Amino acid sequence: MIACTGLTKVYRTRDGGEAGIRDVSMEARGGEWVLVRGPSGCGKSTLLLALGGMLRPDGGEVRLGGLDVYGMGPAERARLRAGSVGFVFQLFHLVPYLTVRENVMCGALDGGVAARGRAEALIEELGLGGRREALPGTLSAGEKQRTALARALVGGPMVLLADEPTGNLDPGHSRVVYERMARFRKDGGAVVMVTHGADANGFATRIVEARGTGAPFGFGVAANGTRHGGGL
Amino acid sequence: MSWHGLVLRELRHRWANAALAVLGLSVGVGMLVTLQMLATAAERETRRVARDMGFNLRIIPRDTDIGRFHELGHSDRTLPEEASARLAAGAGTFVSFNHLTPTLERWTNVLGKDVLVTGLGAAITGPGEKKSPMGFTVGNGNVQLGHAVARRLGVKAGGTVEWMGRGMRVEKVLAEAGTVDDLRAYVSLADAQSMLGLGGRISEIRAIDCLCLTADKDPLGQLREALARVLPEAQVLQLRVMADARAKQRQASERFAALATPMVLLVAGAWTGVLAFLNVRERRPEIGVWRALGHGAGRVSALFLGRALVLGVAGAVVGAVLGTWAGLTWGPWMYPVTGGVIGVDWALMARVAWWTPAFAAMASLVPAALAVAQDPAETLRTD
Ligand SMILES: Nc1ncnc2c1ncn2[C@@H]1O[C@H](COP(=O)(O)OP(=O)(O)OP(=O)(O)O)[C@@H](O)[C@H]1O
Ligand SMILES: [Mg+2]
Repeated sequence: MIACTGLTKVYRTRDGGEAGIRDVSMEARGGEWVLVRGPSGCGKSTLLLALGGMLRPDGGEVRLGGLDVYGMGPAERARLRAGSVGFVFQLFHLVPYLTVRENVMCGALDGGVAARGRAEALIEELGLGGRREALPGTLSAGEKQRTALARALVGGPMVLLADEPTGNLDPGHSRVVYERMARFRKDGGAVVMVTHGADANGFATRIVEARGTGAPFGFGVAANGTRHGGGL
Repeated sequence: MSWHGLVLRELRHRWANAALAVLGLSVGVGMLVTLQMLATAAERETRRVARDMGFNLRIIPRDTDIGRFHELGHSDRTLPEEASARLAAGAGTFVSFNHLTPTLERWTNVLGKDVLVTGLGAAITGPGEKKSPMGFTVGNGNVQLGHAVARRLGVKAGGTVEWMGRGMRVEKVLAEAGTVDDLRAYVSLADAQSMLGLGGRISEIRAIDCLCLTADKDPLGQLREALARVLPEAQVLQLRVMADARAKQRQASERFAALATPMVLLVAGAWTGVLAFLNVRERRPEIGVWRALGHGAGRVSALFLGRALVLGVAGAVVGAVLGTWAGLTWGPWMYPVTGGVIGVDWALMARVAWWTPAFAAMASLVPAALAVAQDPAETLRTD
């Protein structure tokens, strides 16, 4: 469903070094939950942004539903993102002047009645019912994160890309989030989640470990925790 | 959420930026409106003051001896009275000169006193020019006496003077001028002609520089050309001091406007531009989010366009109202003579209503379009 081959995005750092990702290949099919794990700064967010069609890589290819994501024009790519990708940002990135409900609705381009129904359902499921008219500035980090997840799911994407989606949640709320993501996977969606924690291990169908700690580097791929040699 | 709903919500959320932008725009617009109104008033005032200074052009017979002219204060030769009508009909005359007034002047003796009899004909004004007479006219059978003449003859306004076998009604005694005008007796041209036995003749055509042309267009040269064509028997003298005073007054107000307008534009433009830039910069992550969620570049740009339009319209309205109010309040104080007729300049209002939002839109669309064109991940990086 979503796959990358030889994905490379290298940042030059101030001191002349390099950071980012180099030659990463991986895949997540429908019904799969791929967990990408690695230490802070190893390039997880970079990988996820590139997968989501938001960061043009220096090299390699991303395919989403068979389409070459960076082979198309920006407008087409935007449409692809709107229709097929749900993204939970590490820093949430909610629109500051819109309420929880409106922020969730931002994820549905059409904004129709069906989307409104889905938004309400997601708000309830994720325990945001009491905060639906609150502005992001008044939300706790956990509430922001759940709002961001609801926004990612409301458009009915094929792929969910989640960057530390439970980084600020207590175990109880983490569970709510993971269960909602698991349902998305069971409904046929593909999940790629990046984290440096281990609490989602039980939900993942596959775990990809960063191959090393020096940046930039690729990712080794492990199925259910078993390390594989090359990229997928 | 509808597009305009988003625009209004954002404006409310970042109200300080919005308020400052409206403030900058309305102060700029207001100052431009006031400046423009005052410039119009200044122009009108200059003309009025210039007109009140009197005729500054004297068109006299070509064969006049200039020494004699200055000795007498008038030409001792004459032109036919119809010369003024002929000059008026000549092409190019009214481009720069107006109020052609046929005049007949002669020194005579009235009851043993020297009097400068001045007969004034009806002024011929340019097409479209108000028919208001320059200075004054005197009806047949009436006389307006200079201060010294009235004293010497011992007459007052409302009295009569026996003059060349006629009883003339003293319409008015003019205020003391301290010039040869104190020795004048103004009568109608017809009366002067019959008194002096110069029927159908005039000694000069007085005219006024209408200030329609700037000095670089050489208004006097144009009049000389017209004269040479239609009235070759005449020459023109210009009262330089008066002409210079007019030109200087006019230039002073023009220069002020020429300096103040770009300064206001620059300051208000920079102010608005900086605020728009700051707004876009603050909203870069938001732009990234909209783009990441798949909203089209046009749709995202439209948010900034909409914001700019709201601010621009608000600035234009507030500025136009404040500027007009200021112009109407201070105009009459600065220009007491013509301030009363200062009115709202609707053409200027239309320009303001169009340009202010357009400018505000430009100021934010450029940085917004640049941000929109970037990869969402780039835009999302805040610091
Ligand atoms: N735009 C950029 N310019 C320069 N360096 C960058 C840029 N973006 C990321 N980096 C660097 O690339 C490396 C990988 O960043 P990335 O955000 O992908 O890490 P991460 O694995 O998500 O870390 P974390 O777990 O802390 O979120 C880091 O060293 C970061 O400093
Ligand atoms: Mg990260």
